[in-house]
Amino acid sequence: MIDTAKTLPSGTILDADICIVGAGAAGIALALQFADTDKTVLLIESGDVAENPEIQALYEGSVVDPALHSPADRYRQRVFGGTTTIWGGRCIPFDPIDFDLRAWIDNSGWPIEYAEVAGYYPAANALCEAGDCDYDARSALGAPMRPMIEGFHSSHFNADSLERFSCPTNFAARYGHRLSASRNIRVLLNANCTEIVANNRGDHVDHIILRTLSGGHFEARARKFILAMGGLEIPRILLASNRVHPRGIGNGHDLVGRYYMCHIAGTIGDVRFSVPKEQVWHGYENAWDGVYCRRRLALTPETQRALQVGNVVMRLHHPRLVDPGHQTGILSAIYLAKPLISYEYAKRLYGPDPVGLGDYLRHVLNVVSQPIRTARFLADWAWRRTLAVRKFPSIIIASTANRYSLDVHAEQIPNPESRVSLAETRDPLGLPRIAIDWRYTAADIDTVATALRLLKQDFAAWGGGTLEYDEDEVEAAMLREGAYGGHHIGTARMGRTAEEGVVDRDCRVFGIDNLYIAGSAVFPTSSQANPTLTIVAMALRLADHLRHRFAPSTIAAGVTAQEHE
Amino acid sequence: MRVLVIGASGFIGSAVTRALAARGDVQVRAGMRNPGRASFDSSVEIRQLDSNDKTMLAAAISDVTHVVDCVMGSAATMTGTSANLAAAARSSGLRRVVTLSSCAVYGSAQGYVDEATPLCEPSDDYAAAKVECERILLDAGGHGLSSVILRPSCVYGPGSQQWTVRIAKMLIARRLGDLGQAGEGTANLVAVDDLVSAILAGLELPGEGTDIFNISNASPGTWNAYLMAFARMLGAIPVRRIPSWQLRLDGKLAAPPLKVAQILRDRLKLTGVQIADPITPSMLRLFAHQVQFGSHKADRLSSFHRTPLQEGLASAALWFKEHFV
Repeated sequence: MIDTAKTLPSGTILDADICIVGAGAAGIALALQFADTDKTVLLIESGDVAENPEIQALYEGSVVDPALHSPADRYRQRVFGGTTTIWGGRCIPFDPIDFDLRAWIDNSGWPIEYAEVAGYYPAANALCEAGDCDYDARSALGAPMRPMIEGFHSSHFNADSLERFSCPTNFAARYGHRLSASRNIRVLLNANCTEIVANNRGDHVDHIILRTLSGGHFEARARKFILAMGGLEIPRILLASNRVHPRGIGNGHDLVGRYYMCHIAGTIGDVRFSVPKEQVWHGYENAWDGVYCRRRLALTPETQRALQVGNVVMRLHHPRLVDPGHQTGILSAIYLAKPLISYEYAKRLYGPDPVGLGDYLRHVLNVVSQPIRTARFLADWAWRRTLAVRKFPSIIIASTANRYSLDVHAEQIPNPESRVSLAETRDPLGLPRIAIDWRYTAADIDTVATALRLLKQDFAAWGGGTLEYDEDEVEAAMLREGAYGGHHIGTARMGRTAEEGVVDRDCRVFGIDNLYIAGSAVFPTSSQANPTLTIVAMALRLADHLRHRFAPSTIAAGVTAQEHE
Repeated sequence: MRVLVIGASGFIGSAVTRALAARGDVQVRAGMRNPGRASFDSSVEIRQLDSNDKTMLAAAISDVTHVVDCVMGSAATMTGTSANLAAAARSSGLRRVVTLSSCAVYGSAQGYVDEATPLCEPSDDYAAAKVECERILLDAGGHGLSSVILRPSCVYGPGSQQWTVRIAKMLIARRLGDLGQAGEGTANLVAVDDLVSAILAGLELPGEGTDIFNISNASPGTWNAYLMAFARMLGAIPVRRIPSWQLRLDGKLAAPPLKVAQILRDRLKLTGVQIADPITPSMLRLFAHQVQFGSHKADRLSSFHRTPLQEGLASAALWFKEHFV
């Protein structure tokens, strides 16, 4: 059932076995696991079915350095489906090394084994509509996949590591009908959670308070509560819920909101190949089920260990768009289309540099001088992206000059000084807004610098291409657009003990017996991978845990299992 | 055992006839309107038979012990056959009729549906006719006719026009593929060999009176899973995600003229003319429809087996490629 709080009488007390706050990737994935079971599920969502600026504005907050981090209400959507309504669809599992305790990275190491999450990747892949859970170019497509750079081999990088793409699947549009058809699930839209209320002992959530923008207020009671509102909103509600816990729920050790990580990312360098153009391929191939797959250059775990750096991947990328010197009509056309492209994508596509009239005219010249090639590209784009459901993931243009740049996506190490806290101002519902103080460290930049240095050496040793870049520019290039948008990680990290983490290995908040957290807030490290696939995998893992917790006893559960056999 | 198969030249009828002939211990009479179309083992007696002709049918069953009714046609043809069968059976030594009904009798029922589920309003003429056929046989049961009514779900496999040939062509043309939300309905399927095994078991099921069985796969997946697995086996890859606008265009705009063209072709007997099958509104409803036809009861049919979907699809794809590619 899909319901709205707008028509709910004020003062209503809602009741369920499981109350999930936030209907995005994590919340919807989790709720679906209980569809048509005997557990009643209340899925609370602040947003409506369609985006509403007034609701979205509840996300506004302050950013300490606006050059380093996008505004608090960007790259996250307060709407049914959450940020899956705008995501790019890139699916990549974490690597085993991301879970390891790495002596050279402070606060690294997950309290759970990689295998405990990896087991959920196939089902997460299915939910994200990213196809088979095979991320190895040697096997994923059945047929041999085209090499990225034919003849280039490096012991430092793995070029068989794939990324797969979701449609990108909007979880509300795709799974809303399942939630709606399920008798035991109630989705409640337009309901904002403004406080988590613990009992007097502070070891149990008694209820949560819900408010609507039109003044309605309600309570939701449940046996288990799961916060699934994203990596920025979760620390906000935990810190703001200070009625019983003066420092905020789960914040006894001052960990909530700290260790805030995004990714270190940017485009850099001038790669020139001397091998024939046909031997270089930076585009996509379709798996049998139509899923777009693409190779990356992934720094191997052995190299990460040997050189004591973080995890990082690089992709061959078209030259920078803003510089009309690429003389490519299509790239100029994309530049000229800038006003049509949403903030979230435009930011990374174009960067902050202003372009003068001279360059603008040179872009126009590029377009009109290659009308047929540009028109063909646009027609192809319309068919394979605009009109398609499974969308062509990004702009791929074979380089006429055999020149590329590198698109880097690197791990950011956990740093307690990088944090989200409460601001002085409040939103219209009375909840304190957030203040984002995102920081990066020299170690983060060193990971990228090391990878670039190795690739440059490896190209030189190979002889088929060169990489040129200014070592002093690495930091500026990686920070040109600031923290990679939309990846909000680590703000309620998982730890072995309450001193180490906000949640335990089961994603349960330490010290509170019925409060859980789903989403990237619990990730202790950020990996090279985009977080969504792992968010979904972890939500599925949490669903399994909750199911076991609900079983009357292990003995009874055993009997049930036998009956099914 | 002497068996008359009515509708023996059809998709299921011919498969049953072949299976019966292969047993060696059964005398098989293959009744069909147009005997020119038959190609059976020489042990099979071919009988020209219009089952809507009362006298003709009575003559054809006068010396057999069992009848398999696989007649497919207009509503009047199907109900007429059942009525004639019931009437003729009274004055013959017939021991058992196995008749093919359909899960279509459950109409638009949702959720888990088995033989105990009451039938709701039939959703089309075909379903209404099948309900009527069942009613005729149930009545005849009161007068001593023992029948086994089988309600198969979608029958696929070698020879299946509807669920193998039609679907394969649409997959190859990329008119079907990964349907997303539109393909999340339950794919209740039965391989033709499995249905044949159920029919043979129905002939020898001990007991009297009338009994009804759903015949379907035990744990059906989604239509998407079926379509994608089949496309993969056909080599129709990469499978395209079909946008809903394309399905709507195909189902609403293209379907009526295609249907009219097909009817015209059939009327004018222009057999050589190839016209693409329409994606009908009922297909689109089915692909999204959430219903599971429970067939646990069919486990009582001794030789009934369920081919795993992957195996069934592989043989369907192989057969399609041999005959159509």
